[in-house]
Amino acid sequence: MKKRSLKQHSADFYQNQEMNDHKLEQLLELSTSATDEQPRTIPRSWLNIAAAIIISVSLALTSQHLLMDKDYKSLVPQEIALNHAKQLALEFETDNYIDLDAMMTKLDFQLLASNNTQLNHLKMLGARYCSIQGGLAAQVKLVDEKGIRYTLYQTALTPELKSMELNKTYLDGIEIFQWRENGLFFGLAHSIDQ
Amino acid sequence: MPDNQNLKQLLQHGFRYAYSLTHNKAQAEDFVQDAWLSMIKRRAPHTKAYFYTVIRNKFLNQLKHEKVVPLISVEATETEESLTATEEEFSNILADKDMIDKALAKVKPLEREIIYLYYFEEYSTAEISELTDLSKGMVCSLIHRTRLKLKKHIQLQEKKVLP
Repeated sequence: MKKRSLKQHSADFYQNQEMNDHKLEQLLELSTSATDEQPRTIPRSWLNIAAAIIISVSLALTSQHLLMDKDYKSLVPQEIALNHAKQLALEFETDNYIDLDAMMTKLDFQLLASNNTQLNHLKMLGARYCSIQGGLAAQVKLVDEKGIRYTLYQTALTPELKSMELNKTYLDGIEIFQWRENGLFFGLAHSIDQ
Repeated sequence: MPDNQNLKQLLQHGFRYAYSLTHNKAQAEDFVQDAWLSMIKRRAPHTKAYFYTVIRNKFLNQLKHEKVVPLISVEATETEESLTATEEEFSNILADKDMIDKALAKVKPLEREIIYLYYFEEYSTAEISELTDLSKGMVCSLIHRTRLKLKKHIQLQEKKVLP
């Protein structure tokens, strides 16, 4: 047994941990095959989604320009409330974030099961893509034990979302609660007159 | 695209980080594979910071799925200065690989993670704070508390070994 500092002991311990060569080669192989992959024909549905995203981004940029004087913190809840009220159909059906994250491959961030206790009693039904202020977001549909539907939005933090003041908001009978967690922005909406 | 040697290094780093969270080789390999596939599918940048974030989120999602509460309650009572000042307290520890292994197995995943990031990766408390979303004060307190726990677990084993 050697007498050394905790720092040295811990660092050496982790230095000695290595993934076996076979596994390492398998994972490297995955990278190589992904790089070598021939470009595929883009499905029409993707083109539609891309077009929708481009239009949304253009509209968002135009509205941002036109509404420069408007407060950013009021635009986000408005967009969340509007999306919640639309109750659009699910694109992905699952009850957990592990599967959902694997399905929603277009997102440029990792979906996360939030630790917010408000979500503890809610069961996931599935999700769809949406956008918040032009940024691609996940719109997760949830339901509580009384059958009341909730919509949870997750998107990567932009500088605006990072600095935005967060409040509980009520808009057109919809309660919106917003928070930040693990580098993501979350917005939870549900109708209070259900 | 980084060359094979750099990718190997990145994967080994990811494995060690995942191992710090799970303290189990098979589980760590699974998290690394999942995170790697996810990064390839998303054509995400092959950076250590991104890889660690993906592994961490997958680990937290798994805990959540298993209804395990990963959060550790800790008060921000330590500072970076007090951490450095008390480092001496953790020098001259008598231990072998097996004792370190057992001591690390006794602490919580997010405590091991913080020890890995601080001692192995030599991340600053600000960098750890950014990755974990804990305040700098909480990170400092967590490092201090985990060091005390590890020292205690090692000393307990030492007493069993020595006459």
